[in-house]
Amino acid sequence: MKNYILLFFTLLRFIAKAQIFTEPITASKSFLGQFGTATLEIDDAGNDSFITKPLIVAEGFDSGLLSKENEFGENDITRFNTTVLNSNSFDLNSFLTGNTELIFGDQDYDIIYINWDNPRDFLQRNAFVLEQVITWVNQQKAIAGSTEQNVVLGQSMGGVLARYALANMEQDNDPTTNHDTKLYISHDAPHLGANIPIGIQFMARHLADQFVSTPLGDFSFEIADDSEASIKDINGIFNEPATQQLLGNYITPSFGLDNAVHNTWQTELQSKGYPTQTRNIALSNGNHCANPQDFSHSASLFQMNGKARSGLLTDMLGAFLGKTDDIAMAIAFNEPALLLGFLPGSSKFNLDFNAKALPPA
Amino acid sequence: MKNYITYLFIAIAFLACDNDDDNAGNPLDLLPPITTTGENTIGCLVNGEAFTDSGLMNNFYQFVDGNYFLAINMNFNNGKLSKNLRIQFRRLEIDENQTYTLDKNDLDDGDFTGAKGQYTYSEDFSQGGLQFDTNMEFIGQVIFTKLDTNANIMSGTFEFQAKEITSGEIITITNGRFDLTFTK
Repeated sequence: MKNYILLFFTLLRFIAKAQIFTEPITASKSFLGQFGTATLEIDDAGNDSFITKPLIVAEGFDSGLLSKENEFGENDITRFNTTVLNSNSFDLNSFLTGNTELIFGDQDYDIIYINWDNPRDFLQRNAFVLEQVITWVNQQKAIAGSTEQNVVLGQSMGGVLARYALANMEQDNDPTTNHDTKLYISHDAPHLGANIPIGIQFMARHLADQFVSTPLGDFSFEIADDSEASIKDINGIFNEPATQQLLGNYITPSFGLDNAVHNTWQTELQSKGYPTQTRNIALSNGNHCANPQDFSHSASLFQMNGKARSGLLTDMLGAFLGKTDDIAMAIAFNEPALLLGFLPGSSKFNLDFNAKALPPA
Repeated sequence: MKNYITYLFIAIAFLACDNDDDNAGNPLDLLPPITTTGENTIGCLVNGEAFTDSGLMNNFYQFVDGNYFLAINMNFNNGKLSKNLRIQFRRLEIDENQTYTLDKNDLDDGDFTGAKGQYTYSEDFSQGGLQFDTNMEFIGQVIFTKLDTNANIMSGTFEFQAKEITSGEIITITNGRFDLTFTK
């Protein structure tokens, strides 16, 4: 008997070498006159062309700086699978990967991974895209004759979008937009806003002024795995709608602290509340043993004075941030890692940078 | 005199040539040194080619439901080429300077007690790729030269052979070394 089971699984491995399907989605509701869009990557359980047991994954903030070769940006179903395999959990892998990273369809759940076409767009606009994704999935389930309810996993910013979308679908009194979801998982989502130390934001703005808008010009630098970004790119990220909505303390291009956009969003989110027809669970990354950050209030996050070669600042940022890598960069929206590697080559000039942590509130 | 100078330059030009343009030096030189101070470095040779990561991947040694689970994960991904190496222990408490065998995999052994080695490689994820797993025949070993659960540092060396789950191709991982901080 055991041999038959083994033979079955061996055959399954051969048969199951299928592909990831993609599906474009356009929101049916507009925000400020525009309809958001997304591209789904679908790992179809059983490769039966039916969606019967969906896990909908709402991806997080994507800076757009890394993995430019990848059409879906920094986060996609590849990296999702990779991190699940990294978990060393047999059960989780049986549910989500079938314990294979590169063979598709051998897992328990149909994975519907949402890549926002404009990941830094207004949060409401992408939340409306998510509503349409859920509606589309429910239509697919109906075609397949499945009555299984959805699981919605929102990672980082995606957790906030999922909360908004699910709650909104319950509150809009539209019987055609029933979310039919049993479980909402908020994974390290910034429900109260995200944080990039304002000293780091000031520095980004300052560098943009020093280089991009002067005869010195912009310059590019390698950030990870052959991806390049420029100061202008990074400065641009700070100007995008989702960044302004998410950052609890936002520094404007004119060096002012302006939290109006965030406050407006936060007020709307809080009045929206949470979905009430789902089981809601939340996970928070970070240290769960009540260990504080390894720097205190007002401590210098980094400083550099006098004559130096520019590479030294990069080294110092590296030391401060830890040796960053693509994954760390990609998921670290609320870390200053976006600024790593700011200064090129080894040109010599005078520096006086000093970014400090905020004093206690 | 002028001729001598010409000859000299020609001679230098030849001296400067390397007749093996493909030889990028010893791949071992591309690996991080073996350390035990939590430098967050990891590296090994995959069929003789160097593979390293920053070492800030998701590494942990956790006590869950009465058992210890450990994972060392290294990754490279530039949006096209993707490589992962995983060493994962389940239900084993780790002692320093003891040798542990990597001979399990999830497909054959399910939720095993023991340890596995795994290497995956894909040039285009959407088209699939290769997954090499250790098994009873193609095995390996890990030695933890340091496991400091106060400073959260684990250091050691590893090597293993693994078999591709579909084609049966064999891959050989040698000269592995890690010096990582981990989460509990």
